[in-house]
Amino acid sequence: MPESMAAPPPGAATPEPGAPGSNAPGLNGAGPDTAGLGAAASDAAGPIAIVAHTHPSVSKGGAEIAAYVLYEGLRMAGADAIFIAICPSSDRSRLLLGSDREFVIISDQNRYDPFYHLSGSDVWRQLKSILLRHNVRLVNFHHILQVGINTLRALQAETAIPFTVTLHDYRAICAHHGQMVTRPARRLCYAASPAACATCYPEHSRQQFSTRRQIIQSALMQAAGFIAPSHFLAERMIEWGLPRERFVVIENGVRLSGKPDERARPAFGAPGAAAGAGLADSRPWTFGFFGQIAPFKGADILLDTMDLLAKQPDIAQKLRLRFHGSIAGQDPAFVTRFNALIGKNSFASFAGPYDNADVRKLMLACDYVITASDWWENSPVVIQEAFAAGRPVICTGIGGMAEKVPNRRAGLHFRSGDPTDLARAMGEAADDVLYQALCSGLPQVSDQAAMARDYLASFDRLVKSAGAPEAARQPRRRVRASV
Amino acid sequence: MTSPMVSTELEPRGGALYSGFVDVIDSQKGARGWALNHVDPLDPIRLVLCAGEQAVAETLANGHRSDIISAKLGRAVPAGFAFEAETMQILSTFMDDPNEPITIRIAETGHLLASSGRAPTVGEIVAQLRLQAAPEPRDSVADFEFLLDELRASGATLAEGQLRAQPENLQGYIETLAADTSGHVWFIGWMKRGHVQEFSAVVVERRKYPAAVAVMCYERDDLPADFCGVVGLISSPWRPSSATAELHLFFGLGGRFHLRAHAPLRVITSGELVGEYEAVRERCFGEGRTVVLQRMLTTVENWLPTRVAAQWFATECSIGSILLVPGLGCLVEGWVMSPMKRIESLRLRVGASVMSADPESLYWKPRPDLLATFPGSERMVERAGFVGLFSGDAEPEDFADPVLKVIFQGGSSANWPIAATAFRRLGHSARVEDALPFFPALQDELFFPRFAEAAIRAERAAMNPPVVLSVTRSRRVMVFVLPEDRCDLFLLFEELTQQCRIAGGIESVAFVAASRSNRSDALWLFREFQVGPGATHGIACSLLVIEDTAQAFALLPDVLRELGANRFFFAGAGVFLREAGWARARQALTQGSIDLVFFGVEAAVYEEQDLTEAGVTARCFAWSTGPFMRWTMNAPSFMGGFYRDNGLFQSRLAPIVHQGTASTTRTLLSTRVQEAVNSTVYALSGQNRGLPQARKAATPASLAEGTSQLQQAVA
Repeated sequence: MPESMAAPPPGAATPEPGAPGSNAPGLNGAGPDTAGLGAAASDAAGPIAIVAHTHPSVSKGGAEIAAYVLYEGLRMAGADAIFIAICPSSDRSRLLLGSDREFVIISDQNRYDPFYHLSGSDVWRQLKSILLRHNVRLVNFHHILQVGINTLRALQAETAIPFTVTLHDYRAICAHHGQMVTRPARRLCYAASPAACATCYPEHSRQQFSTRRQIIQSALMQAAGFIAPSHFLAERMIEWGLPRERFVVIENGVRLSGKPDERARPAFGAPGAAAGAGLADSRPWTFGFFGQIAPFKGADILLDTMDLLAKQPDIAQKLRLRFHGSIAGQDPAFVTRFNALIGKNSFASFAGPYDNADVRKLMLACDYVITASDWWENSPVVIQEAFAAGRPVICTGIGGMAEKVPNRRAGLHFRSGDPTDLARAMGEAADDVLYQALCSGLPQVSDQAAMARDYLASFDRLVKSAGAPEAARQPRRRVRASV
Repeated sequence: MTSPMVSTELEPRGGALYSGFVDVIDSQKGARGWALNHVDPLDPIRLVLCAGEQAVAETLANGHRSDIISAKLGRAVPAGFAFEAETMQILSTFMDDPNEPITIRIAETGHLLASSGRAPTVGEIVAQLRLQAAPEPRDSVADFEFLLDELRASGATLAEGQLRAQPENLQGYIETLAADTSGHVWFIGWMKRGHVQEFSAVVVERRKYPAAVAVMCYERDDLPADFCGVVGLISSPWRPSSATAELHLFFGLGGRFHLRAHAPLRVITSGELVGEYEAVRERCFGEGRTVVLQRMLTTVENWLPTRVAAQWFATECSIGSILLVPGLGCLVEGWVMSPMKRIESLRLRVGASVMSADPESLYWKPRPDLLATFPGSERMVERAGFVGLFSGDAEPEDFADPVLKVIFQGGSSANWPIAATAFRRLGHSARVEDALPFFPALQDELFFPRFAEAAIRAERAAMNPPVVLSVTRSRRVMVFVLPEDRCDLFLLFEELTQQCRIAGGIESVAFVAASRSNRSDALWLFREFQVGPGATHGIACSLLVIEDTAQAFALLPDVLRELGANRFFFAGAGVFLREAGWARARQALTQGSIDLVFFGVEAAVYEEQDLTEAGVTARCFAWSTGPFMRWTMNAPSFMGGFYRDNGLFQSRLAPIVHQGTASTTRTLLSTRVQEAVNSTVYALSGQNRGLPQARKAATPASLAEGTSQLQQAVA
């Protein structure tokens, strides 16, 4: 169910997720409206366009996967939807479109400005052509990355098509890959300001950061509404200046495959579920890392943790640490260190890249999934995938991760960037009783259908609200339409 | 050449509010006449010089005219006006239609002033200007030597005739002779006034030698009033010898006049002759090529490097570095070890220029590092290092064989060649900050005002004109200097595109890119804009490339000339218009507007007012090309391109200022020296309120005083 940000629970910026399901009951806004945009059977006005910054066949990031899952869900729900992905011309050969309802905009990476997020005019030209040709009635952008805020401005100025924006990170606020961590020290950042941002990026002036905020805010303000997969992200964006009443929180859905009983939580007695036997202290506990093996995903923290564990053989022999994912493109020093540690420590292994269709099977072979990102994250798909596989998560206790993984109920938290504390959490996790408690507390996971249902309901409500008097649509801070 | 239009009309006709008349419109005299407001005769009328319908310049009719008597007041009123001749030069930018007549109108009424004849056209005035601009002979050494060749050839004809030394035709005496190594013979003597300073001649010493002679004159108290002293050059195959005594120099029509050798005749070295010339140098007068002759004379002195072994006292010298400042001289740092003789002065020769160390700039400093080379010379190294400004006319084009001359007490000297690698040139391979190692308190040195002006000139001279990549001429144009930051470059095009989407009303845009920073990105963004919003909205698009965005303001006249614009809006690099600014900019470019309009530029930072750069700046303004061109003729340039309003604000009677209508993403940062240079030049240009106004009349002392006043004002 979508959660409206219009009336947040008193005193709770981030609602405490409780019962199964990422969306606490009672916080949702309007439900599906069969007479509005969500009316799958009555969409005579044309399709909804889901626009992603890339296609999942090219890149396996959380945002593009979430966008594609939504598109699939809308289609499964009978809604008319098309999927439009932006693809750098250099990646064109890797494209694999799923149907004739999927479209691609070829862009030139050299003609993109990642600071103000301005794309080449060909992006808007191609997008406009697709939108008009298919008589699109609503556009849902995922990310402003690659799309460019100029595309949002052009859409607003040259067409009457309403649009919404699903935010997957803090890119609008932060120039540092939208992570809100300082540069180069990678300390957590709590709020952006021209002065602070110019400290991270001395090559840019404070005036440029101020201009950046003004122009991005003014472009985003043209949106009918914003969808955030986490309360944490929504609150950050609201603090930054976007209007609360135009926010909806909808969890990213995951593809749920297999029979329902396979999704059942492991029986009491795990880690037998992972290792295939039932004696807790005779089998090592397996911790799996899934995703891009990169420092910003916390992989370097895991390497530090391996160093610590290697010095404690009595603990190390009870643990297994398994890395799933790609290490391609990482700094050579990091790769060298990673390979050295994997080779030196028998309790660690590198399983290599994986197909997303296999993720559930691979997670089932682990007892815990570790998410160690040193930035706030939003709603990492890997957490939803772990829950869908019935596995608790050990994660950094900050931001979207802390929100999605209630500590000691669906997993364990450790201090950001602290390998000692991660080692402590892993040691604590190797306990049958705790494991069973955590497994029983796992929240229910949103799938394609639920995600699509929530989006359709929200589209309808947001677009209706967009017709409200202009005064009610002003940002909380003064935003100039022009620089 | 002229179009005289003499006025006799003083009485209003048919109840008209105004009367006036154009007396003359001419390329040399400008446009002059009078205009009178009958209702309020003491209220000066604002007049606009027009080329057809286009405003070129404006002025007030408030000049004294004793012949213009107001019927209402019954006395003469200040009703005269004048568009000076410089204004006419602007008309070359209005050649779109050369047949357009030049007229004078009363501003904001369109009332045309009468004249007695046909008004000249733009084409006619520009043709006159071109004739006047035909190049004059250059006073260079090369030109001068060419002239001597011609005169010597004529001397050969003269030598063919009968030459007789008639006593009544004796015009003067040659007292002293010296030959230099380049083949010239120099003489000092005296002769009757009234002769030309360069002439063909024949030298007669036993035989005839065709010759060319050039002289410069100086006052001599021991001569009758119709005679003067001369220092002259004889260019001929003849050379004096120790036996030379009976010598005649015939010249004039048919060799009628002559000079003869004084007895006894002194034959001295060229160095000695230069010394004698130096003694009379201040009294030299005359026009023509005196300066060139002086320059040639100073090069005859011996500048051959001194061999150390040939010195009877051991002297060592070395030059560390030299900063050549064109138009000022050289800043020199080095050392001299002279154990026996005290050093009296230092001189530097670069090419044909000979420069002396300015006493007020020269200082000596310890060089303890020399002790390793000169052990036991503790006392000497305390004063071995030297730094000084060698003032002179050092031109980089004339750079050759640099030599330092150390002149010792008693007049002896020694020369040291300087390695070419010691040199750097301001404006080319060095910045103003590179002068600080020579003079750490540079801006407090007495010569700093001269240095500042020379630095600005060097920077200006290093600029090349814009390269046109695409141009569409237009009457009214918005000129955007493209930012160096890539992100700002994208933003500028997006902002312009957005304006086209939501407001329109843009007739023409010109972009100025910088080859050092953003040329390639600018090129494709320009093409995208040209075929996209430009084509959709019918906007004339132009792209020009300069070397550096800091040069954009100085090169704006060239840009406008290429664009053929009569009215323009200008935004410097990193300046962005706000919503209100866009509307004002469009308004400022509407037909008929002639005002100078400033757009106040502020730093776009929330809650950080310390960065606010509010107020008037030349980084963003709109004006008409005509008055702007006229203003630039005497306008100063500044390091980095901008300093305050660049003096623009006071160039117009009542400029319009729209505060807070623009923002900048980059605050202009300048170094301490750049700031000092700019503030000095600003003060010297007479634009800074209450500070020295007369740039031309300023002496070094008054310049220094001006700088001091400015520094106090700033403090």
